[in-house]
Amino acid sequence: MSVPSDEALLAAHLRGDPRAFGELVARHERRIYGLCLRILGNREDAEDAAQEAFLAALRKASSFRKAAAFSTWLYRIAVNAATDQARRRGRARLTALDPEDAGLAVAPGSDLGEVVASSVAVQTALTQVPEEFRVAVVLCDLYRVPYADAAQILEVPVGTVKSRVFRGRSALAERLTDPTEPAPARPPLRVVNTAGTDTQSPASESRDPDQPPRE
Amino acid sequence: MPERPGHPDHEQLAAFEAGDGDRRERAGVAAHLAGCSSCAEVVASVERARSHLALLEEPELPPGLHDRLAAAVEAEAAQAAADRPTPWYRRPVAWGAAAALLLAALVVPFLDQSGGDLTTASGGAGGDAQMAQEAAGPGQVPVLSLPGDISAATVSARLATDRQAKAALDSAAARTPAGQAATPDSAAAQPPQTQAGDNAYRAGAPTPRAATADLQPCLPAAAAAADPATRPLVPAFYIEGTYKGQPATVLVTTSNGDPGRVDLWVFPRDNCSSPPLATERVR
Repeated sequence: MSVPSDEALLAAHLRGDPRAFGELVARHERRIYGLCLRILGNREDAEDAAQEAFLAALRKASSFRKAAAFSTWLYRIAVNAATDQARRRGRARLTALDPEDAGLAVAPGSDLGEVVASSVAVQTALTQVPEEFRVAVVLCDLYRVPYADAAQILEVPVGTVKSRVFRGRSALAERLTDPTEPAPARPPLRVVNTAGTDTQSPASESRDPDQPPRE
Repeated sequence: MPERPGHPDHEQLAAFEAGDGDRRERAGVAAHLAGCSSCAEVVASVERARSHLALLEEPELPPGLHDRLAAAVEAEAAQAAADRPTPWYRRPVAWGAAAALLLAALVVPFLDQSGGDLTTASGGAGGDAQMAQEAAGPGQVPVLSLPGDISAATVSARLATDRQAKAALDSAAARTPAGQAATPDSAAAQPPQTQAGDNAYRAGAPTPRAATADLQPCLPAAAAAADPATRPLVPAFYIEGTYKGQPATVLVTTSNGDPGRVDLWVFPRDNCSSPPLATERVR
């Protein structure tokens, strides 16, 4: 039995097949929900964003260009839905501390308390990483989207994707720095948001630390 | 991350970290990292982040979200269809009294006088929705969808949680002699209907579709494969989904000969001409 491709299902939908789009939703719902959850940090926002993503895809179905892969097209819609949701809800939204809401699975045999605590810490820290970098990390590191596909999804050059992933990981690591570790020999590279200049970094500018620097 | 003269910028470090660059470029960055502890620390922290990220696994789909998404998409599609102007030949016909009388005058002579009531057959003064509901009348078997792979376990779970599935099974049970004795109320034989408000997102989830004619052979095909003691099989509902990863149509039956028994029969999607690929006992 051959399984129809995503593109074939979308074509069937556009020809009037009443079941085709539902099939597409069923195929992709878990990944799209997961993408939104990792970007937004909590289940409620992720569910709303996933729904918006599929509704937007339905409305835009006739504009799907066969040159692109369906999943790239759908991921772009989902990323936009997630970032719209974040804008609607405001940046101050806290990550849910309930591990289930943060979508955390624990490997059998592991110390439940320790793993859950550290997984929650990672998701919390991830939600605090500036959005542009966070989206790149979620796509490329968590969902293993190849850089070239991520570049199409985000509509930026490949080099920019790599740079955002790098800076996202760096920002994540900063927020997860173990306070019991000895202080590094040099001050961290984080730009300080003060009126004066940071002597270590002549190119510093005063800006909101949550806003990514211009590319 | 600021740009610092004499140090690779973040894009260069990112490229290096991603494994890019020719041998000369990589050697240059590697040499710098060997001598510069702050840049080395940046790369090390990026590496640490990757191991942190490995703690996050792909989240499970929360219960109820599949149904919510399916319902939202169906409602949106229905809305879009409703917004489109209907061609004149698709508009519902208003069965006003005059039209009904005219039809009666023309058609009644050809009907068996003891036969059905004309107004019921015409569907009354309803629109498309009512006519569709009457089409899926008692004896018609609905087609449901099931997220995830179909198996005895998932069907059993579905029967516990899904109102439509449970109603379809109850309706099938009501059609068996044992069921008919227990529930003489004809309402039990009505097709399953979702109530407004069942769907948490929008009122009025769509009624399940009725099985089309090409699924009719599934029942005799299943019956041919069934244990004779369980015959005749009574169809409860179909499921469209996947069985062990392959698209399949699954028929769920109860049994006249063994009340309370529920089986599932797996066929290739929309293809009941072959004998069942597999069967599992659900109850």
